[in-house]
Order: sequence, then C-alpha cells, then structure tokens
Amino acid sequence: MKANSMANKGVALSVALMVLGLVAAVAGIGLKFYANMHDAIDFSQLFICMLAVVLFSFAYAAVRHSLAAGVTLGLIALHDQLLTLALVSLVSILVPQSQNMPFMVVIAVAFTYCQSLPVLRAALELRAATPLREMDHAQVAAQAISQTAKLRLYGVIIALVILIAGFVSGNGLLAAFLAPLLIALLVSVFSARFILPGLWIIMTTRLAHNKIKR
Amino acid sequence: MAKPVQAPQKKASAKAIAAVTLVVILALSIFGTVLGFTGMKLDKDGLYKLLAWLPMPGQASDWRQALVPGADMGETLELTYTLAALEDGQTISSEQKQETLRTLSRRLGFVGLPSAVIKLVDDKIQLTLPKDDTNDYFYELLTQRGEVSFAMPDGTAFLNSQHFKSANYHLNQQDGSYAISFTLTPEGKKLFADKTTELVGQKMSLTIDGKVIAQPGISTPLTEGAASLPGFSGENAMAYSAFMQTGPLPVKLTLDSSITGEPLLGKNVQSTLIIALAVATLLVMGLFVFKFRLGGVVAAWLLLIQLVATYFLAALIRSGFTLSTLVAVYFSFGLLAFSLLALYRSMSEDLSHGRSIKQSLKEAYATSGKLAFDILGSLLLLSLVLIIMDSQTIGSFMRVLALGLLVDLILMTLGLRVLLGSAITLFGSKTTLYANASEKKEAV
Repeated sequence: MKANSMANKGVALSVALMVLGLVAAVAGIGLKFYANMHDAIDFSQLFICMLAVVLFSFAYAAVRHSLAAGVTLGLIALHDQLLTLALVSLVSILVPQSQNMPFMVVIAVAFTYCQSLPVLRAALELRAATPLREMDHAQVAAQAISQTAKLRLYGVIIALVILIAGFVSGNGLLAAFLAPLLIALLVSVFSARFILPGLWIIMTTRLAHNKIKR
Repeated sequence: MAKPVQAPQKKASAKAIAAVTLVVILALSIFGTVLGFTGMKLDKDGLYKLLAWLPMPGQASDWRQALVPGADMGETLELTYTLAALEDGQTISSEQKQETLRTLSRRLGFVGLPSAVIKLVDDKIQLTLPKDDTNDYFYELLTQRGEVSFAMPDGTAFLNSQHFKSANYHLNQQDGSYAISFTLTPEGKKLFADKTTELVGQKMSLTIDGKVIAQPGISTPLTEGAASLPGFSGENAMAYSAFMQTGPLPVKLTLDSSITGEPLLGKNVQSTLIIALAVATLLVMGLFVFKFRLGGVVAAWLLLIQLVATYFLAALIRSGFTLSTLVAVYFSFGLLAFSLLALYRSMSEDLSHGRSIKQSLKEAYATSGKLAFDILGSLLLLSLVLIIMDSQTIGSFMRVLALGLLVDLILMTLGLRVLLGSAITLFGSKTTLYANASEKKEAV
C-alpha cells in the first residue's frame, strides 16, 4: 500500500504542477520564448507528436511485455511529457525558450525509458519468477526499485555530465535553451521512483482481476 | 598423444585471430578518427574531397564546411529592414507588424532555418541569420512580399495566396531541377478545376508579386485540388513554396543595413562547447575504464567509434552544427553509454558469483542486453514514426537521432561482441581484468 500512497501523492503533485503550468501558459505569463521564436513553432504538431509518443510507448510495451506493462508505460510517458511541458512553461517565465523546445519535450521520452523501463522489466521478471504467496506485488515493486537504483543513478550521472558541459559553455541563452532537458531528466527520475511502482501494482492487479472475472 | 598437442595450437590460432581482429579494428578506428579531423583530398581519384567532419576548436580544420554552423553556433548576418505600407499614405498597425514577424518566422522554419532570430527593434525588423555568402540571394527572396497567384493568358488572376492550403518542394532526380507541389482549399480546388478545364491546350501564368515566374502549359484539366510545377532552381523552389505555405507579408520590406554579428549563443560558443563536450566524453569513458578495466577500455573504444560515426552521418545529411544536431549526437552517445553500463553491471554481478567471463557476457546479453535493446530499439522505431509525422524541428532532430541510434544498435549487437570477445581471447578471462574490487563488492 506504501507504493500506492506514494503514487497517489506523486500524481497529485504532478497534476497540481501541470494545472499551474497550463494556467500560466493560457494567462500569457508562462511559455515565454526568446524574440519571435514561438512563431516558428507549430504547437498542434507538438501535441500530435506527444500523443504519438504516448501511444507508441503503450503499444510497444503491450506487444513486447504485457497489457499491464503497456498501460503503465503509456501513462508514465503521458505523465512525463505533460509535466515536462508544464514545468518548461513555468521555468520560461525566468528563462526564455527557443524554437528547439518541442523536440526537447518530445525526447524526454528517452529519459523516461532509461529510468522506467529498467524498473518495469525488473518487476516483470521478478513477478514471473516468484509466486504471489511468496512476494506480493508491492514487495516485487519495492525490490525492482532497489535492484535498479544504481543503474538509474549512473544513467543520471552520464546525462548530467553531458548536460553540464552544455550549461557551462556559451552565454546564458544556451543554459536557458537546455533547461527542458534538465527538467525532463528530473521528471523521469521522479516518475520512475514515485509513480511507476504504484501504477504498475494497480494495473497488474486490475487487469488480472478483470481476466478472472471474464 | 595427439590431443595435448592440438589444444595449444587451437588456442594459439584463436589468439592470433583475436589479435589480428583487434589490430585491424584499432587501425580502422584511428584512421577514421584522424580522417574525421583532417579530411582527405580525393582529386587524383576524380572526386572533389572528403571534408573533415569532427568539430574541433580553432580554424585548423575545414569541418565547418561539412557541418555548417547555424545562427545559434556560428557567425551571423544581422539584416535590418524598414517596413512600408502596401499603399502610399497608409500607416502600419501593430497587428500588421506582428503578422510580418509571424509570417517571416514560419517562412524561415519552413526552409530549414529555424535557428534564425526575428525581432522588432525601433519599428524595424531585425533578422539574424547564419552568415553564408552563398545565401544572400536566398535571404533577399525570403523577405519579398510573396503574393502568389495563377493568372489567365490575358493576365487576369483567378487564384491567389488565400487559396493555397499547403505546399512543398522536392528534387527531380532526372534533371537536377526542383519541383513545387501544392494543395488547394476547397474554394481554390473548384476555381483551379474550372479554369484549367477552360484553358486546356493553353498556358497559364504563375506570378509572384505581379511578376511572371513560370508559364506552365495545360494538357488536361487539373481537378484534384493539387498540382506539381517542375523546373525551378533549389532556392526559388524553396522560397516560392514557402510563400504558398505561409501567405504574403502584409507590408513591404526594404533592406536598411547588413552587418556581421556574433553567434546567438555567445561569441566563443563553438570552441567552448567542443572542449566542454570533449571533457564530458572523456569523463564518461574514464568512468568505464575505472569501473570495468579492460571491459571499460572496450566500452570507451565503442563510444569513440559511436561519436565519429554519428558526426559523420550528421554531416552526410547536412544537418549543420546546431544545438539540435549536438543534442541528437550526444543523446545517442549517452544512450549507448547507458546500454553498455547496464550490460557491464550485469556481467560484473555474474563474475562475482564465480561465473566465467564468457558465460557472464552471454548471460548479460540475455538479461540486461534485452533491456538495452528495448530502450534503443523502441526509441529508433519512435524516431522513425516522428520523422514521418513532423517535417519541422522535431522531424529534423529525429533524423540525426535515428542515425545515432542505428549506430548504437550495431555497436551493441556486433561491435561489443567482436571487440570484447577478441579481448577475452587475447588477454584471458581473469575476473580482475573486467571488474574492479569495489564493483565486485557492490554486485555481491
């Protein structure tokens, strides 16, 4: 139940930030760009690409692993894309964004995969190898998190080393333009640690329950 | 008595093959890297030359010809334009000024110059573009008003800019010229169908700002609401299709001044960024060597090959030296590093349980290797989907990323097996060669 409560709190926090980011963007305070760079962005195209990322993540994990894994990864991708965009909207109040922002938000999915897929795969492997009476879903999720912690940490270190190289070069604009990538990295770490385990438990339990009912 | 004699012979020949494999790949890697920094003249072979493609600080190499810096990373041209109303005596509203900025932004994005910056300064438009002397004519074209129309043989226009829905340009492989293709709105489709039916066997005129630029003949009625016009130069086709796609400017622009400026992201951004990224690359490689010793050296080697190959492919598709290209190149670099790390950690864990290095490598491919292929494979497929879906910044970023991911997958499936397999055969399978003490403790 600990994982579920963590997921609930995590989702509540994310939704609050998403609403804040959306309100800031709609009110014209957020989503600020350098010079006229926002005119070079086709926002409808950005949203279509974000939707494609979510649907692809769902389909890939559903075909490759299971329906529960598909729904979990799809929802995590949706969460990461939306939260990254919302935080970029808020951060842009302080540092303006460039016309590169759309691909930086979309490629946030690479961080999502590097952080979430190890946990998801570990949980699926553990579940397949251990009977439910020996280990319930919550224990499996907790073990998957601890088992993959070091790998995910190294992933963050590699990303940070490369990002820092970008942040210390050029003028302030370069750091501002790279901010979405740092945000995406932090969001992916947050969702893999706090939301994914609870979500996976819910999906695995619900879909198994539905199967039995049928 | 035969067996003990044959076994060492087999071992010796396996070692010789491994040594030759490693030496050949090392020689190729060094040759490729040096070539990446220096380029090669191929005049004697009847070819132009192989340009250097690996970025380095200073002016010693001509890599900027292969990876042309964008306005964000290279020298810029600051063009200032005065705005004038379409008719004398009229004033320009603030909405018209904003519309001018928007239309120019869309045009620049459409022709692949998204790193250009447009500002309204003291009621004048300031355009910051990548400095390239060959582009002067093109920049002049892009700032034309761009009112497109089709006219009857007597000069009466029957279709104008508002009837175009979308447009694009493409290369005609047969004669090297470019064609403009366009689709029309429902109203435009009806008008175009009626007039082309009426004009069968005659010629209509395509005009830009009242000037006739082409007179295509009509052999059959064009009723599909779409058509393609061949026979343009690359620059003209790009500019004219941009006009059709974005519509005309609501004002006339007159060039006021043209000065050379510094890169948008800072005066020395090229050199600083190249050095900083080189340091980051060395740090990541150092992490591998420290943690996985001989295995780490192999990983560092693969990471170097990855960078050389991805930069080469980025130069080949002329993606330019822009922030977008650099993010794509280093994203694929980081993803390969992460995949190798997942595999090596799993291998170290198995080594600590007393398995042989060959067994550990096989087992690592079966467990963490699958995770790596999950990440790299899914991202490659996704980037292909996004390349099809988006023709702007996301699509062009994904093109470079997809190439980098392809290199990653080849190196993970083939490169690592060959290099590490040969290293194990040549240097032996002693556990301490492949994991340091702290890594072993960690794994336990």
